[in-house]
Amino acid sequence: MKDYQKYIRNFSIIAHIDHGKSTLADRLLQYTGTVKERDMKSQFLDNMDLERERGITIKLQTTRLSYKAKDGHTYILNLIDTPGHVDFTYEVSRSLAACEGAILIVDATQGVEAQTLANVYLALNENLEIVPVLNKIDLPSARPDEIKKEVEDIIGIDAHEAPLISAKEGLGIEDVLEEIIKKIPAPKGDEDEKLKALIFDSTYDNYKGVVTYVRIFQGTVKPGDEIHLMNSKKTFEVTEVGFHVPYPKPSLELKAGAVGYICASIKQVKDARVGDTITHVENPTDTPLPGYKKAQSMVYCGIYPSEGEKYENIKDALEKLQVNDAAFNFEPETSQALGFGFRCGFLGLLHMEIIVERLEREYDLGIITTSPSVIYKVVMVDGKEEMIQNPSNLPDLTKIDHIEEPIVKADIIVPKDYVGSIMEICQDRRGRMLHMEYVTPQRVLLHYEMPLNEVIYDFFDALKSKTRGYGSLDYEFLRYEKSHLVKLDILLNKELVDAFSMIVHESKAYQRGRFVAEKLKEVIPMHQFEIPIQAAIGQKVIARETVKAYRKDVIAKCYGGDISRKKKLLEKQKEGKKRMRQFGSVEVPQEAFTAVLKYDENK
Amino acid sequence: MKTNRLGLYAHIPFCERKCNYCDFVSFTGKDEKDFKKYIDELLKEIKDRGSEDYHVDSLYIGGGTPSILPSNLMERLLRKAYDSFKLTKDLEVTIEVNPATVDKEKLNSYRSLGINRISMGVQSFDDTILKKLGRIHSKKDVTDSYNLIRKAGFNNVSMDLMYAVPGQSEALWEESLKEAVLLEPEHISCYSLSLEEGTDFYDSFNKGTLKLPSYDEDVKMYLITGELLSKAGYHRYEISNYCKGGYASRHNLKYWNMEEYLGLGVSAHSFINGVRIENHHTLNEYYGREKVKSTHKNTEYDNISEFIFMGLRKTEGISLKDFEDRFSIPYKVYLKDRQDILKALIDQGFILEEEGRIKYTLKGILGSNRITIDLM
Repeated sequence: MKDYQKYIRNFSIIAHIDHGKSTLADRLLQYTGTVKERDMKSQFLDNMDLERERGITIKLQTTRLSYKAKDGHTYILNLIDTPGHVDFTYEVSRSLAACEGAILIVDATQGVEAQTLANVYLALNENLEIVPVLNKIDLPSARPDEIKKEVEDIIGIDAHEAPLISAKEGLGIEDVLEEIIKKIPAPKGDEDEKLKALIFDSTYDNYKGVVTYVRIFQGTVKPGDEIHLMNSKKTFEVTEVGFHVPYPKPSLELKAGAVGYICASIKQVKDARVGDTITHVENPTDTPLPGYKKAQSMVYCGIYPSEGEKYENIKDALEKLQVNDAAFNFEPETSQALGFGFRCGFLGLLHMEIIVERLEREYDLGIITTSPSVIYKVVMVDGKEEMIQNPSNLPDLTKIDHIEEPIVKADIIVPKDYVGSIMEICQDRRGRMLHMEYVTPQRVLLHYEMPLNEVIYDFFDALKSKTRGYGSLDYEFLRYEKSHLVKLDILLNKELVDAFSMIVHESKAYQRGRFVAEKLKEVIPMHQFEIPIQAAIGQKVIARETVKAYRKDVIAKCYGGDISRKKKLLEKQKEGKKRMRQFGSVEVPQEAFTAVLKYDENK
Repeated sequence: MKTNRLGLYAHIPFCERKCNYCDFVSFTGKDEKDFKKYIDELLKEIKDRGSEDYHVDSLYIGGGTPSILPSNLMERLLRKAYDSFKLTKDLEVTIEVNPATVDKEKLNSYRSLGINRISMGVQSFDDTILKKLGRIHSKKDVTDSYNLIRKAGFNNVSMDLMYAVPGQSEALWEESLKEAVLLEPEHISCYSLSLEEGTDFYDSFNKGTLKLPSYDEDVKMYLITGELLSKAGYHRYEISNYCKGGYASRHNLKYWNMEEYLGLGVSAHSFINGVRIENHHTLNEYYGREKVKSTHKNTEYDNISEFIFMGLRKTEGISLKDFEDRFSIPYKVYLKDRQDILKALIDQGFILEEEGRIKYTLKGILGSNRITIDLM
């Protein structure tokens, strides 16, 4: 180990949503004087409003802290924050790969959750040193001894020295810093060797282009160097290197063991994909760092301009989002019902929700999203295979031999009292239980295999609702499996509305069809004529509802004082109509598209 | 100098009992002392708002049940109104009358006071329906009162009827219409029941205890009305109003033509000098120093949209030339890209454009709300 490396620690914080990761990160920044108190917005690292609101970190932020330890030495602590959701497992794994250790925050009132476990396993895979920390110790319901034992039993690491802290109250922060220095190994790697740097995140800057966040494993990089990205096979010239403190601060070079950023006039984030290895054009390394994966969209949906919104505006916004998010992709598509729009691919359901919300809130766009879909493998009679992610593109049934759907491995942790109801909702969603284990006397880990299309439909909502928020879920793709799938169509006034079509399992078609028909009946306003709503598989109608016709749509009495009131009535009707979508002769409010997707406890 | 025409409206907010469908401002359980107090306040308002700048060509006493007032109070009210404004020679004076609230003496006094038009709140010629509506009169009261009115010498009588009422079949409605036609009033208004918040019917409907005729039945009854009345010599001049010859309601036409009117009394509305004025709705507030609850200066858009949605209520529709004269912009230019919608509405037979006017077809009337909002 080089001398300078002795005083570097590279670490992440892993935790379940709400267990206090961002709050602890903020405290570390504050304690080390990296961010002045008065500059502190609550939770500095979560820099998107949306993230702050939801209490989850979506986009990584990395910061270099400087800490004068009790041993008298000043250490450089590189805090690599990780996104806290199942959709971003790959991104988390690359961030962890950039570290030597990880702080594991466990809520002293709640204990270990499925997602904590998933991230711990990721960290153990990267051979990281795990430093457990018990948070929320100030709460009366904290059970530190019990939870320590839980950590030891479940994760198998020694937790008796775990600092007891309250990130919110700022208690025990110094203990955490000392533990980091004591427990987490310093980085190794020869600064004179051939360059090997891991990209674990990137953002886009209007002036500098793509800013890649890197961990240097060996070698040295400096401005002017010609670099080669080994997976994207692109070559660039370095314009700037530096550290985030937390604002970007340029430096002369980055040496083995360091965490920092590299700018090289890279135009698109997808050219500097997370997990890629940077080396020099001259004197390159032979072997890239392991673990690179291409971004793979698991969930798709259509995004369309709503009434009065311009296609071009949506396109611009999607392009901007894509610049910063290599995992997000889109292409133009046309729906008979919704007109011109885009088919968008996401890592998972949350990823989709985030993008949709950003379009609506950050970009202030009016959009309609269609039912999310997974990718189905359609095997044709002639043996050819087609990957279908838009139900409307399903080929003619007579040409299909069979359809396969993605199956995921789902780990669910729930308090034991809820096991029964969770097994019920899993079974209802075609889940197969592999086994279950008591992680503590109170908590149960259920291992399931489940079709992804059931998970993305309403499983999260159902899980949260049935366990009063205490259930947690982690899932990953397993394989494709042959399945009895059918295309469920919705007809309004006898006309098929393609935007409502979905692919469902045969056994669920009736239930889903009835649910959608009932929901649409609730949200579609009365018209001058009766509107039959039908759910159909091919020619066969499996559910039917009717929107009754208006009693009348004419103001009978209108004179005197009534004028202003009646006019208001018309103005209101006019406003309502603006938010409607016209399908043939039927007007459908935009909320119809989300209403048919919402989890309904009673259904 | 040309003097503007003005309609006067006076609201009498008293009834013997509240009908189950009615949401007009009206109070029950009041006695002559209350009536007197109210008329005193009404006279104060007339005094304050009287003006020589207008020629009043229509005076309308509505309610409530104006015929509940004793003749001396009615006389004070009318004299004050006549004294406070310039009147046209052909002034039309209408009073709303409920059957069984008038007698020979009252009617004679109306005549002598210059009232020349009676609007009867008949609603139905079926006793079961009348009871269901919460009316205090019977079918016999209607014919009796009607005969008294004719005997007193009134030659301009209107009847209000209601259809699409709970428990009313098409046949039953047709019967009421025929009974009305037999009496040969000059004017008939036929209103489809509308549920208004705060009424008994509204509450029962939401509780699920009130069953209304279906949309199809409602439409059928509307069509029957037009056909039957047309055969009997009445023509529809507004969505819900029919008359013989030249007996259209001068007063109500003012609303549909965006002409000026001054509303007096509790909850009355005015439209004057481009301002909409609303009086207080409770007696207590109305008896206070300020009778006006709110005023709103119409914007150009207000004027245009009201001109269109009120004007289209008339069978003759709106005149494109009138529009341009009023708003200094051709209607179709105003519509801009909505001209396509107008075209589609014409193609689909909802709107008729002829002789420089735009009007609803019969089919258009039935969906007039949704059509109007595209044209406003």
